[in-house]
Amino acid sequence: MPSKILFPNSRPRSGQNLSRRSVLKGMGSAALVGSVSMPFISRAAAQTPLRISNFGGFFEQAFAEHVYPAFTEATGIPVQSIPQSGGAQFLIQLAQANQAGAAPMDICCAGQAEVIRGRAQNLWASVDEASLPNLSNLMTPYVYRSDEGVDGVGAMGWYMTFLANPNEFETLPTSWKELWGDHPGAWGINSGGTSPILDITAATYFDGASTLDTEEGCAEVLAKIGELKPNTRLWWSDEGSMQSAYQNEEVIGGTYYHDVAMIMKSEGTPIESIFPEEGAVQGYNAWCIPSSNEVTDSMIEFLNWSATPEAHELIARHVSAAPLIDRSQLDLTDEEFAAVSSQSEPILIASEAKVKNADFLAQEFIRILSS
Amino acid sequence: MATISEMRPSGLNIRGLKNVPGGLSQLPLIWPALMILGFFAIPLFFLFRVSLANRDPAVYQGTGFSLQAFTQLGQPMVLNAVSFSVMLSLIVASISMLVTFPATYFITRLSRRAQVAWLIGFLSTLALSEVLITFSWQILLSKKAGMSNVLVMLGILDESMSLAPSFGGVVACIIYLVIPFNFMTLYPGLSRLDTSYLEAARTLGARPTRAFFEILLPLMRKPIATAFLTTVIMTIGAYVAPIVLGGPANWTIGVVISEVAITGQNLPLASAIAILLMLVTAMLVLGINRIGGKGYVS
Repeated sequence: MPSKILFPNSRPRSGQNLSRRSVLKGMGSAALVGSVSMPFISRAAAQTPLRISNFGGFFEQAFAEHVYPAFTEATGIPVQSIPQSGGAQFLIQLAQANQAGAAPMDICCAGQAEVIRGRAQNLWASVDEASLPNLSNLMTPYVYRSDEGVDGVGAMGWYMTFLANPNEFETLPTSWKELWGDHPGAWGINSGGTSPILDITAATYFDGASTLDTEEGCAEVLAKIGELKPNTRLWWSDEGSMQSAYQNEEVIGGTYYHDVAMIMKSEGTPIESIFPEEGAVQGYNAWCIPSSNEVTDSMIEFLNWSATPEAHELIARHVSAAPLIDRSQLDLTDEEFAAVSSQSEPILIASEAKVKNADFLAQEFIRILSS
Repeated sequence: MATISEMRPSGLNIRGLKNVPGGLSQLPLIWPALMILGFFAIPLFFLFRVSLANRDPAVYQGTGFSLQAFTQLGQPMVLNAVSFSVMLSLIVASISMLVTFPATYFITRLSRRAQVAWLIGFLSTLALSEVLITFSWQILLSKKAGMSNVLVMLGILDESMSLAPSFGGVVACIIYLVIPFNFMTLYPGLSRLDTSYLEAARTLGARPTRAFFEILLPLMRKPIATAFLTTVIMTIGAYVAPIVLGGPANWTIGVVISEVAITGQNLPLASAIAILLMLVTAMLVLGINRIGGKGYVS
């Protein structure tokens, strides 16, 4: 079973997008780069690379090739890049390995829901914030704090925008409300109990994240989503399905990932990725240390370095992910920035509320769509 | 059905072990018994155990004992998906039988060489991944690149149209997936069929259609029931085709189980639904077996 179908919102891009983007040759073994002798650090540290995992496929390779080498150059700490799966499945596997005292990596990249679920399972080690001075670079929502300290450092963001085929619209949509307009069978919308359509609906018609905090609020939001049924041809759960439906002109728009849309656009597909007036949805992944690891200086060093403008510039340029540091601090051209991000106020994913009501949302989403 | 005492070997006929008295003769059974225990009984036990646990955000597989998950089985989400899955599997099995039975019959009448070619053809499609096949169907059913364009070229349709997501798309893809299995189940019986029965029918003046319905079908009742049953069991747990080629109205119980287990993080409820699915499948097996009967044994 393919992970991208099973775990829709984890965004581990593999296969399809690998061929879409420039093919990254070689394994980018950062460990090799790092093994060059570094006189200023201890021999032992130089010989044990930091094991960092990221979503297997495009992400893991892009990090290994473009991001970790810069860290090694800055600190002398070699990195071994490890592919991981994403989403709930990743968390289940990691929890089991962690329980056995042998997490397969020192630092992993977790989605928002996974950070919160992992915290409930005591899966993450906490780090004293005083040892991470660079965190002040990150915009406020992107640092996770537990009672004992920082347990997640924002790694990279992604946007879900309003996709529209410019050939099919006289005036392009400017509001999410257009999804509910007179467009029968027009859209492809991300389905499932964790779908960002929940956040979009809550922000557009209700009080945003706070509405999703209660089951009553969730039920109201879901009922509103139910009204989208006549307009929605495709309730997609893996991004490949939506991409192929859009390119085959089966849908003329919907909700989709900004960065992939921009790549499709640069390849000549007629496509507009719109940041609506209510805001596009922004999600982000975080660096976390599995708690079976003893927190070392190298790990802290990486978390601290990951919050530098340099790291976020590299991620924007080479990983096609949105930086989590304010634009003014970044040395990115307008084009580079627009390809992955926007300065308009985003709708942040209400991950705490969605995790709390996950069971209810998953069941009700199916009931409403299939009834 | 054979009773237990009929099935138990009185003395194993394995060379060298023939008529070894008592326990020793059972020795070779220890290995398969261990395998069944390890790969079937123990996981099944855990499935039952998890279904009886309380949902607990801190422990994925749940904690404690309760019947909470089973009390949730009556909700429409579960019942609708189960009845849809049963309906889908019966429709797929019926259509695939209508396609595969005549096809297999004609193939068994061909020359040996042609039969081997067909066999290899069917077997090789089994090597393709289910996911690959499903995504190929997505393209085949699409508006821009799909087969509706062929219909336009032939003048049957005015303009190309998208044929997925749809119930028909799901059914078509699953039929494609199960046909090789049906073929392999029907082929041995049909190829060993004693054609003198059909010849006798013809000599006595029966038309080919009558011979087919009154001689061939009853003779093949058992293999047909077995192939039908295999298809039902394979289809009832379908996951990839409904999620890729179907809309929310075509989501099977497999899709619901994965949503509950992964998105909802409610493994106890997912396990309870899986147990319900097992019970439904078992009832279908008993029903279809009864229709299949003992069949014809040559």
